[in-house]
Amino acid sequence: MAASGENGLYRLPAIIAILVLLAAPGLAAQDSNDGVRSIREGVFSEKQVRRGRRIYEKRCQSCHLIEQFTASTFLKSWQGQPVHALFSLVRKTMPEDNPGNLKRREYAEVLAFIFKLNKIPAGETDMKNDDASLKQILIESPATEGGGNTEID
Amino acid sequence: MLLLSLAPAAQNPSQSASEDWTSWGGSPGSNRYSSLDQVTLDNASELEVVWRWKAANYGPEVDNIYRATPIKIGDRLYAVAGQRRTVVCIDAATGETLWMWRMKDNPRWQASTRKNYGKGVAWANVQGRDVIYVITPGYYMAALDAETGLPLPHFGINGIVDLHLGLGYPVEADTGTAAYGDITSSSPPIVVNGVIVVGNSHDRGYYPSQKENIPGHVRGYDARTGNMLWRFHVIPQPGEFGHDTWEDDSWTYTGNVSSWAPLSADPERGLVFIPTDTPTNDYYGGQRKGQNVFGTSIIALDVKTGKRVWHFQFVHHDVWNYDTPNAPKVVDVTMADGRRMPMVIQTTKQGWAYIFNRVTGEPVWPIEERPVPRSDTPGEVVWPTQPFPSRPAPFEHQGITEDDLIDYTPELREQALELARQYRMGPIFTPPSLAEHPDGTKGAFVAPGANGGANIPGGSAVDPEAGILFVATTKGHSVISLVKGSVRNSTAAYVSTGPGGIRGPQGLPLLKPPYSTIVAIDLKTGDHMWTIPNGDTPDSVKEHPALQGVELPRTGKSSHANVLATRSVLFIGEGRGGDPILRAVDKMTGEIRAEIELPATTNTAPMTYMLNGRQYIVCAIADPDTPAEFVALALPEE
Repeated sequence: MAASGENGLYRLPAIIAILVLLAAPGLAAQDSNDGVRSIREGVFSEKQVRRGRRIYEKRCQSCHLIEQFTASTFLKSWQGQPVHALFSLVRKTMPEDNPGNLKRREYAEVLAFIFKLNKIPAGETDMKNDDASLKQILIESPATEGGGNTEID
Repeated sequence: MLLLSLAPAAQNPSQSASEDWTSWGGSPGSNRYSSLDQVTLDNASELEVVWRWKAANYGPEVDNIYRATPIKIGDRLYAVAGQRRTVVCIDAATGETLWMWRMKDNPRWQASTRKNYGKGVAWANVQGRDVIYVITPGYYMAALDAETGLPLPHFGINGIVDLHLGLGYPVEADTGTAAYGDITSSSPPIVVNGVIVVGNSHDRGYYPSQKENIPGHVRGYDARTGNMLWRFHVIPQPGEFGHDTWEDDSWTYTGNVSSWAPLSADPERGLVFIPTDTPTNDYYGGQRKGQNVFGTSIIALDVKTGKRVWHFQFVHHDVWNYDTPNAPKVVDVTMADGRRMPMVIQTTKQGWAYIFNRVTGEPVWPIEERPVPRSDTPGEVVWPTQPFPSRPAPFEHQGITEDDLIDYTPELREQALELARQYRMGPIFTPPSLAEHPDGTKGAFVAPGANGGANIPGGSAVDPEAGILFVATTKGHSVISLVKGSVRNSTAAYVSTGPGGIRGPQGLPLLKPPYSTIVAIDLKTGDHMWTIPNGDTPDSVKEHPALQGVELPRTGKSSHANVLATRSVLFIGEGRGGDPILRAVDKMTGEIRAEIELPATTNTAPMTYMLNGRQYIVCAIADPDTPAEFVALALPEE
């Protein structure tokens, strides 16, 4: 679209191109499909936490003491690893009587519930449950020592 | 085809009639062995799937796991499927469903904690008629006409026996529960010399809601009428042998000691072998002080009378959840010194194969009582010694020290040490400890753990002709952290927070490989012959960023292999958690000669049979993306 002589408009494409390049990293950080994020960046929704609690009470609680997942050692042991690793492990092995039987959506919701119990705040959007998306979210412990809320309220 | 006979063809109760597979483990001796040899190491690579039978919808919830092994009688397979534990009859040549039977919905089914844990059915020929027996999740027993699938009217009441009757324990007839626990079943019964021997199962015991439970007494029933013939008390009553091993009246409320694994037998001698599990509360025994006979034991019963002939307790006062997880194996072996030994072999979670003269109960090689660590958990008194077999050597790594931790790089080692030092490490039989101990530790390592050693899906197979035991074993660990039972309003003083292990540094396994193996043991001498890893190194390890540039051994997966031995081949399914592969392996060397891809991973013991001159191998497969099914493999027809 380069044109000469029209009020310097021939420079516009180049300027636009430079602006787009400068803006791109920022765009990538805000786009929920690109870039690696931490679970602390509001990666799951309150709706998922609610549903996750119901699933936990129905399918997990009879065998698991909640302290197993809210003691500080739990999230620390997953520090820096993608949510996908935890998701896959739970999906392959749990619930113990019928491992893999829950929907992918349901496994993601249980994880959202557990993260929330560990004082990880929910955000506005749902956590997607496909492998690629889950690999883009890294687990991070809460900053404060002493871990999570042990009450299911 | 040249048939090689490796030993004189002696009377051996462990060999299955060559074309059939008449019980869960192949024969009453439960050896998971067949003398068929149409499939060999040379042609196994040509095995292909010839039919698939879908088990997914036998219950309100689709099954993504399949724990059952079929039996084969004549031209039919009989198995169970799904949450209902529906009995199914399948054409063994084509996979066509011929009939199915299930108990109608009832509150006891609804309350069962082991709905889809059914491993199979039992068969007997009773007065010329083939009969199929099943124990339902609601703890009823049905006898079905093998031809039609219809309950036999003269058995029990219209084909059904209520197993709550005659349990010797008050149980809610409707729900199968008591104020103090539950009882159910996960394995088939075994029929020996006209007697059906019935075990039982319970809910998981590592996080009990109470210290009380129903004891898993074993019963014998008439195979024709369903009348109860005898009851053996696994928790001895006053005046019975072993009663004094339960202090402070703990025998009045403690339960479990169930025989949830498949049973086995020596029909010629009229003996049935009962493997039992841990008494109530897997990881804390402060409310059941004493040795707790017959917890975590093998018991040899006279099948006609139900009287104890002999027993051996593998773990005294078990607080490690070392329940006896698979069928004892019955086999006759000519020892290196020429003695003909009638053996019974028990492979276990704790990593030993305990081998006995099954007639006398004498260990074939000495088993020594050795001192083990004490416990400092309030109220707990562990037994000061435990049995240590002198031979064969353990087939699995036992105990944990810092030397057992991952050390591919100095960084990983440092991280592993930091993680592991939060918990108590020690030799086998290091007792569980408090989640918040004043000394700063958060619990104790139990190794092998709840899923380790030779467990339910793995177990072992025996080649009676060559005298070799093949054990599928997993190196696992649990971390047991005890908290007060009041956290869940339990009458148990302490409960564990769960049987799991801890994650290793950066998600890698905490312990050095191999992660699971198959071990061949020469029964003539007690020596280990060979050990191979179960499968290739997992991608999550091979491709881990922290291990780039590090040369890794073949580690195997963290899964229980599923083994089947034939005259010519050792078949090894890589198992759930591994890759969907069935391998054909040289029994004498461990060399892999063929790898057959399956639609999904094997989940439990495969079986084999011959029909119309063709050998079939049937595997139960399933994974999170593949609902339960049987696949049948055979060689292409010439």
